[in-house]
This record gives sequence, C-alpha cells and structure tokens, in this order.
Amino acid sequence: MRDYLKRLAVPITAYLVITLVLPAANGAASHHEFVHHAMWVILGCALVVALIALFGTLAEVSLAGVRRLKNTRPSSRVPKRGQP
Amino acid sequence: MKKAQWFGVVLATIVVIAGKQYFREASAENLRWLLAPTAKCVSVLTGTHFVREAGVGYIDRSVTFEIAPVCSGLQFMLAAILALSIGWLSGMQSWKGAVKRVAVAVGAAYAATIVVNTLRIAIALRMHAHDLSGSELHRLEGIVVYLGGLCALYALARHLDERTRPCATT
Repeated sequence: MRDYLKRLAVPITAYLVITLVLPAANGAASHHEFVHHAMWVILGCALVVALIALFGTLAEVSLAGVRRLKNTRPSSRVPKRGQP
Repeated sequence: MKKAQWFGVVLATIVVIAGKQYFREASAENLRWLLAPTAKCVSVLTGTHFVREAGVGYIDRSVTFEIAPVCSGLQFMLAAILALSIGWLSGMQSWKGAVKRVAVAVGAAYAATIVVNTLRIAIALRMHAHDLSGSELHRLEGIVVYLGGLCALYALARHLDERTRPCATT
C-alpha cells in the first residue's frame, strides 16, 4: 500500500491542490459547502487509492504466478547433458 | 534541483493559477473550447444529441441532461498540467527544455481532459438513465473518474518519458 501511495503521490497531490488547497487559499474554507465537498474529495481519493492498490496487487500476484509456472515447466528445447 | 527545473515548476504554477482565475469568471461561451469537443464526443459515444444553448452550455432535452461550465473539466486539466510538469521534471535540463515540457504538458492535459470528461459524462448519463443520479453519487463518480484518469495519465506519461529518455553514459 505504501508503495502505491508513493507512486501516486504526485497526481493525488496535484488533484488535492487544485480542488482543495487553492479554493481554501481563496477563502472558500469558511463555507459549509466547501467542508462537505472536501469530505467527498478525501473519500474519493481513499477509494481510488484502495482500488488501484487492490487491482495492482492482484495483477502482481497473477504475473508472479505465471512467471513461476513458466520457470517450473520442463522444456523440450533444453538439450540433455553432453549434447551440443 | 537545477535552475531550469525550478523555472519549469514556476511556469506550471503560473499556468495553473492563471487557469484558476480564468475558471472563476468564465462563462459557457468562454469555455466553449472545452465544452464543444466534449459535447461532440459524448454525443458520438452515447448516441445522444447535445446542442449549444446560449449562456447555459450544451443540452440534450431528450435525456434531460446538461453539460454546464462547471462540468467543463478545467479543474482536471489544471491538475493534469501540474502533475505532468512535476512528472517530467527530470527532462527539464535547460530553459528551452522546461518551456517545451510545460507546453507539451498543456497539450497532453487538454487531450486527456476531453477523453476523461467524455467518459465521466457518459457514465453520469448511464447513471441518470437508471435513476442513480443523486448529487452526492454524481459528485463521487466525478472524483473517482477524474482522479483515476489523472493517475492513469501520470503513469502513462512517466512510462513514455522513461522509454524516450536517452540512457545516461558514464
């Protein structure tokens, strides 16, 4: 999870800067609607990170499984000992 | 960090702040450069017929749906410019290179905005047709599609940058 957060840090930070930090700096933070919106933005971010981490982990596990299968499968192309 | 890279960051920040100021006062007519291609793409993708309505944006009355200035995706475009500029910092080795990278980031962000916003509106239209268009659900759908699109765009941009960058020689 930490690895995914590290990889996604730049787009998530950019998104939060545009949707929350800049409006807050312009005085929107005092509005009730802004706090409500901020809660949804943070929830959305958590959801996206969780989904990417879930599908990323599934893809990594699947790829590792495929690689392991390839490595353990006996190959007919490998010449026997002593043969050129 | 090199001076050229700092220059790239400052340039991208200026573009973003100027874009934010522009968005605060922009009307549907001002945002036509974003709304028109999006409405066209949504119409083609979903089989709807969005037409321009002066002062409102783009409307399809048969599906009771409106693409208003707030749906233009300009916020996404600004976030994409910022993310791409930071992601391409390593390629900003000269002043000219920094300007070039930020310019490419603006172009790529514009194209990505049309694609991601079309997808977001197409999903919203489908949700609207199935009576799933509550304001909170619509908001969450927008956040998830925009942020997911931004992460995908950033990952693609980094991948392309790493592939095209010349290998360092010792």
